[in-house]
Amino acid sequence: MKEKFERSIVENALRSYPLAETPPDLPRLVLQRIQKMPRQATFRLFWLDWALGIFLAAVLSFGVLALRHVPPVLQNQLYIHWLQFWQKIRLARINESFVLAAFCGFLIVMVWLIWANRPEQRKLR
Amino acid sequence: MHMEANEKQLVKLAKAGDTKAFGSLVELHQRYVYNLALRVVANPQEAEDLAQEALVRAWIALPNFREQAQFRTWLYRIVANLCFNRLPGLRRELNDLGDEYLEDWSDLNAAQDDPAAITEANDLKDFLYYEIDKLPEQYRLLVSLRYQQELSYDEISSVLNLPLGTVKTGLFRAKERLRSTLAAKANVLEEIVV
Repeated sequence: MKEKFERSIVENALRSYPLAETPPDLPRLVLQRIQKMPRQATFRLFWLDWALGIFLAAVLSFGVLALRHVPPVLQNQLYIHWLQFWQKIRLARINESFVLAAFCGFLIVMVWLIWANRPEQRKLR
Repeated sequence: MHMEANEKQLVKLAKAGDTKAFGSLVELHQRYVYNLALRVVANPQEAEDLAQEALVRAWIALPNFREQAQFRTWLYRIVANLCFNRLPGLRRELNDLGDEYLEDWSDLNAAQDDPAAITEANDLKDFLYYEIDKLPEQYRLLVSLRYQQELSYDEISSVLNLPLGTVKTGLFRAKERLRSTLAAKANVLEEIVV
């Protein structure tokens, strides 16, 4: 047999390679399984997300604006306080770290509580 | 075109949580999903489990399905990933195929003008079907995607996350293996006749 002829026979066999019959129960079993499971919630933004976002943006903007309009004397005082604060942190780094970690933990728990109690999450439970 | 629009509608409904619409999608694609799994794992019971798992995962992941890709290629990607989980060596074997340039002979058609050739090709089909089933799993996966699911090289490359060259190389090697077994069989037959 010539190589080209062999190739054409192989190509034809591949093109006519038959599909096997599907097990008859497959769709029923799939539907049975999916009807039992809760559906994953689609990622969407809700009014609470927008409200929190706007609130945080407002606080940050207010902070930046306030800092820019502080009189020079007060600015120097703030700078000195900041340096003193930094010195204290350096001296008591371990204690401060614990406080910071506790604060972060508190923030995470608060955020989680707010997130988990959204109406959409409650529906999933 | 109409079917495609209908499928898009079904996908939208299923994304919104309509199980009936998803059931219709399962009916539409189950045969291809099952066959892809069957060609790779080569065991009907395992293929059924894998197809079922793939369809359930599709339901879970459907809300995140961006309709930029076709639903069926997205579905095949899920099946392929499950195959990779089940056969840990499969991904490596596919990557090891390389991507050297190889001649494409997919445009050949069994000498359609020659009736004797057609008869011979038909006689050899069963032998070749048997040989296709005996190919290593990485070749069976590529052959199934190309010839049973009728995906283009680009689509296969996207489904398996492989370079286009690797897909072409793999398919070429699969066909060359089949051709050489066919040639060996022809030689044996000639020797018997002589």
